[in-house]
Amino acid sequence: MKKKDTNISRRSFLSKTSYILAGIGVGSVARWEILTGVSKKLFPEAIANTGAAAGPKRMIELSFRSGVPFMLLGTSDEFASLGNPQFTCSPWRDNEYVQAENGLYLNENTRALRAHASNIAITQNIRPETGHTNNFDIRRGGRDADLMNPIVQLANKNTTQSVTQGVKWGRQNSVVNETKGAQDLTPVDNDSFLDMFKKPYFPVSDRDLAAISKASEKLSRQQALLLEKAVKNASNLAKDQKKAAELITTDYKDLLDINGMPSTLTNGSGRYEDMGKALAYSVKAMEHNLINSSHVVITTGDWHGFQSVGDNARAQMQFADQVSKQVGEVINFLKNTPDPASEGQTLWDTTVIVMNSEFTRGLSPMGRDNSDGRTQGQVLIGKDVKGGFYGSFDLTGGGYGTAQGFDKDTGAPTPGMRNSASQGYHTVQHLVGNTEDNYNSSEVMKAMVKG
Amino acid sequence: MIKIIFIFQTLLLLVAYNNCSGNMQTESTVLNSKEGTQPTYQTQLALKECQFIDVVSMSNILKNQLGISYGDVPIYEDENDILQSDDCRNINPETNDPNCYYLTTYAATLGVADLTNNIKTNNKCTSTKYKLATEIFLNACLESVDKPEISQKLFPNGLDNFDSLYLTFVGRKPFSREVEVLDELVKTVEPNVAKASACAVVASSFEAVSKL
Repeated sequence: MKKKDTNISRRSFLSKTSYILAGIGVGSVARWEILTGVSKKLFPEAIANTGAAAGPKRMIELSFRSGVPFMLLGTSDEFASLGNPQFTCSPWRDNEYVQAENGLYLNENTRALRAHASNIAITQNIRPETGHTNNFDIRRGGRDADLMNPIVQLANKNTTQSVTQGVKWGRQNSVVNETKGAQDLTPVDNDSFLDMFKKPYFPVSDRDLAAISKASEKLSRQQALLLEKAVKNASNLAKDQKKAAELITTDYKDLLDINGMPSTLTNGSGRYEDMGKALAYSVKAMEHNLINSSHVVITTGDWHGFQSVGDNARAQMQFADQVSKQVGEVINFLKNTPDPASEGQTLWDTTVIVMNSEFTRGLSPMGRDNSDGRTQGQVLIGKDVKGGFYGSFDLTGGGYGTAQGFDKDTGAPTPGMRNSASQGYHTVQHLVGNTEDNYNSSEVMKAMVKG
Repeated sequence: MIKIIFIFQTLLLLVAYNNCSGNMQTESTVLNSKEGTQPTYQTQLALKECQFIDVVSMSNILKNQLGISYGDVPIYEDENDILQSDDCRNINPETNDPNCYYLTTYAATLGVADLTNNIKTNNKCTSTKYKLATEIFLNACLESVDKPEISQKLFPNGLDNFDSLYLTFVGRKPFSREVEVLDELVKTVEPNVAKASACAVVASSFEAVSKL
């Protein structure tokens, strides 16, 4: 018999005591301030348990249209027994198929990820909730939950105090963000991104412009002091104004020169050319704290034609090859670059990389259409991520294989179930430290998280 | 049972915490804005969220306070060289004007709703918006402040007094420390841009571009 948990959690404390305070007429804002203050005193250990390591956080999110199989990046050991390809959208043993970490198998196309495998968690074993959509269920806690996207929430908090909170690359309507009224990420392309950090032209001398900038900063700081007891975060807003003043006098565009970056990023091929440049600009901007987070949207085209691993499977191979190489280079950059917002830490310590799609195509035998929406997947990469493949596949029967979920706490494959979009969502929230508002720690797939 | 006892104890703690914590009551309103005196505050319950002024309001300020009839200012690439782009032409299909203007070009960044793409109005205060406001008002002030009627309205007593300038853009008179900042500014910059500089700094200041 399962022992009843008699410990009271911080979350439970917050919700129950909130009801009591509401009952005695305490307003919602005052209620929240009182409860968070007291709960942090009463449950100091709970803060550590409700999110990944404290401190500034950043996020790089790669959203792939349209229904991308993440098995191409890495998969489980069921495929080790396959001497030749039997299913589309999957690797096979003879394609130099080796176990990298904790049941995660990579192949020659994904060689670039091997060095980082201990921090890469892949699953394709989540239950899909919808078909093609530009607002992925897994990015909003499930179709019915409809919560704010983690990257929007993180960028709005801007814990790194970056000049710009977050940017979004790629076809703007291909993936939309659920902002719940918060500021959306700034849509950019290569030109407009550089323009954001280019010193604007004014018909005044540099000396005069510097004086204007200085006065602007000082005046707004004075006003923030006057308003600090009336306006939330007035001092932080004054800092935002200071950054704005610096932006009109300094040309940060030169800092974003990506010519010295690895050619994998600057000269990607096919559909992944723009993705590589977006990633290169994003991490360069993080290096100089110009942005907090970056969302890169990639449209990968129609997958229905890929019914073999022969010539018409070049798209699958290109996806695995390009994404692995580019993400591998991004990880290398993050590991070797100090985070300007966090002394003593690298960008790798503060950044979480997430990959998602509206669904991930499941297994299908050669010669058959890989139908829409059979599975949902997610790739998580970061210092606090426990590498491995999560979930398993039943490849028996010769027909379409079956994806099976896993115990979210232990990671043990669990036939007959699949994990939920909500679990995928809250695991990301945990990793990036979005543990306020609608965060639900009981939904976190703890098996994927270190510590 | 343990939970009930715990919650009851915590409630008692909360009462004590509230009684001991005078600064828990947080929102205040500036009551006294007389020049040179420290403001006093009327304490209320919650702090206000900063809201950036909307594009329509900004356009109205350009029109009504700075006499810029178009209600927007061009983006200059270089001296006398206005940025032109097909994207800007698309933004202004009626005029077929190829010139890029700030408020139309940066509408999305400034939080204008885009209903076709299901994007709501966004009034959050950000450094990007502050930067754009500074650019917009510096260009606008440089363009208009030397016009006699604008100069007379904003600086009726010349550069020795910033009351009218402050009342126009902030809605109150400046405090002494704010006057010091502006005095220093107008003494530092070239005389021909002194009024425009003070105008831009005040018009794009934190308080001026926030809805309070």
